[in-house]
Amino acid sequence: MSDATWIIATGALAGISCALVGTFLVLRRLSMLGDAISHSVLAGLVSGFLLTGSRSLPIMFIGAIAVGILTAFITNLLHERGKLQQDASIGITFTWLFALGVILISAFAGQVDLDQDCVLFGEIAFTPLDTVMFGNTDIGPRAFWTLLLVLSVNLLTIGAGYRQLKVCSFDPTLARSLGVKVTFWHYVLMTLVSLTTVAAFEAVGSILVVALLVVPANAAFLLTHRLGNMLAIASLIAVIASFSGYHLAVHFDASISAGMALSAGLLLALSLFVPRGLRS
Amino acid sequence: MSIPAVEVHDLTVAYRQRPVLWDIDFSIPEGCLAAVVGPNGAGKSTLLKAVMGLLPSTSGYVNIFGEPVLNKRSIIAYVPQREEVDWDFPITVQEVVMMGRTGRLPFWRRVSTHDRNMVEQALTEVGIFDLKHRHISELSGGQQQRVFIARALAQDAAIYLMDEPFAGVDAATEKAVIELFRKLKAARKTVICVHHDLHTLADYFDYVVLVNLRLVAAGQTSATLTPENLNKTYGGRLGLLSEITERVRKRQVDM
Amino acid sequence: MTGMIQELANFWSLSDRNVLWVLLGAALLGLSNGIIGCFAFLQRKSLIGDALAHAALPGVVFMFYFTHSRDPWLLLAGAGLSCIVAHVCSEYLIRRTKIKEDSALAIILSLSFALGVFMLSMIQKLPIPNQAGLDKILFGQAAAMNSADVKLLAISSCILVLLTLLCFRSWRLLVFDPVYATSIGLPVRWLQGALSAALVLAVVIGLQLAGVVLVAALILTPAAAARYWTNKLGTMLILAGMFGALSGVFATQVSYLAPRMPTGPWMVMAVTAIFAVSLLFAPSRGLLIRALRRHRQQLRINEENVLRTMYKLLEQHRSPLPGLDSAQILSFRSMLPQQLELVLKRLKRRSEIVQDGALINFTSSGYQHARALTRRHRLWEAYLAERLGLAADHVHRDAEEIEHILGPDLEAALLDELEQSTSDPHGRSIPRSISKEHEHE
Repeated sequence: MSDATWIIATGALAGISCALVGTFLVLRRLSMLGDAISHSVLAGLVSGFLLTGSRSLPIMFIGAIAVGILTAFITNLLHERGKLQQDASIGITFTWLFALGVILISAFAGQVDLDQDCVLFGEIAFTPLDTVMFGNTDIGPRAFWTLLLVLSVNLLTIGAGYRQLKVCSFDPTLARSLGVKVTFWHYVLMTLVSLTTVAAFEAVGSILVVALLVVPANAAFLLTHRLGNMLAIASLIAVIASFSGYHLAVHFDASISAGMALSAGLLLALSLFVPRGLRS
Repeated sequence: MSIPAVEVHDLTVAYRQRPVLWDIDFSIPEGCLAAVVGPNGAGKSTLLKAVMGLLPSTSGYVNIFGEPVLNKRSIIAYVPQREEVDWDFPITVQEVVMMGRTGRLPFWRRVSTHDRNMVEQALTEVGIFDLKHRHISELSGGQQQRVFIARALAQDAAIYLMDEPFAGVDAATEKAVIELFRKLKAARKTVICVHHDLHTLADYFDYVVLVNLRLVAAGQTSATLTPENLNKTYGGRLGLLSEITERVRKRQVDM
Repeated sequence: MTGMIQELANFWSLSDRNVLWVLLGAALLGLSNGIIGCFAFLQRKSLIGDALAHAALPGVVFMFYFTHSRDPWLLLAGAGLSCIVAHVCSEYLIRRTKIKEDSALAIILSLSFALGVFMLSMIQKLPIPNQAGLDKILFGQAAAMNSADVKLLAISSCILVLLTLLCFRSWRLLVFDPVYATSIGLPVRWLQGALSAALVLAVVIGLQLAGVVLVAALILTPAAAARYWTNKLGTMLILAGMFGALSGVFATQVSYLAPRMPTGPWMVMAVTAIFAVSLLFAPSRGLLIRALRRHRQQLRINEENVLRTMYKLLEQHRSPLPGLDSAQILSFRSMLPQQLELVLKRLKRRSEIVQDGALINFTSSGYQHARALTRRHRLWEAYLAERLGLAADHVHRDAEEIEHILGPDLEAALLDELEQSTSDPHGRSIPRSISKEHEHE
């Protein structure tokens, strides 16, 4: 496959993974928690690296998930115990963790092969340079396979917990009265967000992650009245955004990640103008 | 005497650290239509949620057919106030009702024909079968209320707890719901509603629970709905109790 | 160690011009952002700073692209402009579509940032001179601040503080009750506009020092910390400003001592530390203080319960007893022997009881205290029984909790309601108040 195809495919995988978990974030009004986790994950990556000296995939994932859940947990603690507004709890937690991450990077500069640029920007254009070998054959970019793995985890978890996630998002009171473990499913979702974020942002940068989490999901929210459709449409929009974003970026000779985010934004803008009658 | 459907014993509940119910003590026999009545802020919704076991009680207990409520949740269906959910949520009428049957089923359990039948039957009962593929935001207030009631019916419960089912609904819906209540009663189901309208109280319900921070009276409507009891519920010498309630709250906020 | 002190001395001699600029800049920035942040915090728009910071990027790049200049005033104008556009867009999404507030914020934030990055990557390939480090605005670079930057910062901060002083009353009303503000004829739209503009200015001047991600903390965290200390808006503004300025000073020192350390993130660390201290230790609202108070309250309740139990036990015997032992008390109160030990020790220290060997007895002040407590307890029980119609076996547990918060005023009210009952639902007499007794004598 050509580099272009790999890039579009990687972007599409990142987009679908994000759209799936993003849909639930949007419905539960936790979009900004997605933003928060995608930033605070930096601290997890750096400390995972410093503690083990390895940049292997499992370590990165463990560090990121730990910090992602920590973010959700501290946010919740400040909100409930500290009687702070939800927004403020989110903001204080993630800026603190992001600052911590940046400081760790500065303190151990030279030892850590990470910088904040990569977190904020990431550049999907470079993904074809980092490939994995299977036996003696080059089977494509590492990011592609990582994201494929993450997408499978997301699909399996959401498939398995679909009913619970749905009822928890729509009517938590009913969920509790039916005996659904609302807190458990909250942290399941947070785990998926962390996992997706860390896998996606290495490829595309954290801002694109935020865009992919919320923009396709909101566009789909405008277009459909069914949760199943919303998941599907959000994924479709993510794929289209990946394809058109690539070409947009190539045309203007600009950042491909940003191009993909902007395409998603254009699709959202378009869906604002879809007449009511055409919405499914 | 048979075991009461709902027995509330010595229940004290604090909601958001504010004690709202003191020593509530009543029981409701099986197969009756009961109304919980009281002024605003008297703790009616709280009482319903506490009966459902959704709020921790400070003291006392709730028994459902002689067993602790947490063991018996599956036979209780709860109908929340309409404002409590997001009506923009991407979900159709039929799916909301289906939630009552399958909300907590693990993924490997398929939706059975029985489940589908129950849902269709519930939709028909409340007269919204034709709307089943509509999105919930396309419904009128009365229709939204019917969706919630259908969901409770689909749960096939023995006890129905409803928080103001008649608030902001049209006359047709109110009539339909009352018809439904009578059918439920005929099937020996127990319905407990928070109710506001004193005029219709005696027509609709055969049992009343009068609350205002504490229990004023509970019993057969004819015997309980006396001017004296109503006066105690809506006027009454509550100054002192409210003052103490306020002081307990302040102390707890400080903690 | 001496080296460090030497360094600190060097720092505070302020002989290094560059240090002076950075120090001034950081302190002023912390001050003004902390103050403006309070209003956003109280309007429950805590994360607006985050969104605006990201929204500034396209404006900066756009301005640079057209003017090829890095004049901070120009870039500032560009940033402000795109923040305003972003703000309008997010308001549109919230008001005109079914998209929810949090999503609108996240959409605007990520898309405008993407637009900025897109344009940045475009112009990086163009032969425009002088563009190196333009992207540094994203991360903040305090060390690179020069006198022109600080001048800009100082002027903007002064504008912000003055604007706050000028609008304090109307902004307070706007934040607290916008509907009322409209009803008394305040120009609510203009006031909100001014507040938003002030917020945009605060964010934009923060970018250079703290960067896109962290400027949100300079707006939000000082306000949240200050809220724990006070219930007055004026005090809150002053505190938040101080917290912000202090963390600026602290961070500048850190990066002076360890030049590798970035100022912005250390400023955020410092202000978060202040927040953590506030959360835990602030009088009346801090978590630790609240826990401590809960503990004290529990101790007091235990003491009062023991006093009342002793009164009841002694009262039951017609002939005066020489005293009680702890086993007797324990048989009536469900508490652990160790707990009782502690309570007795405290009561002894306050000389409410005396202990002679195993025998415990009241002192006269202890007796009066116990009698007053018993009186309240039984009054409340009588009230529950008579007014609420509770059965006698139900009232006791409730009275256990309430008697501890009944003051003399409520006691009098209870007595009024009960029209001088003299016995409780269990048929025991309610002790008369001590003062009344004196009247009779």
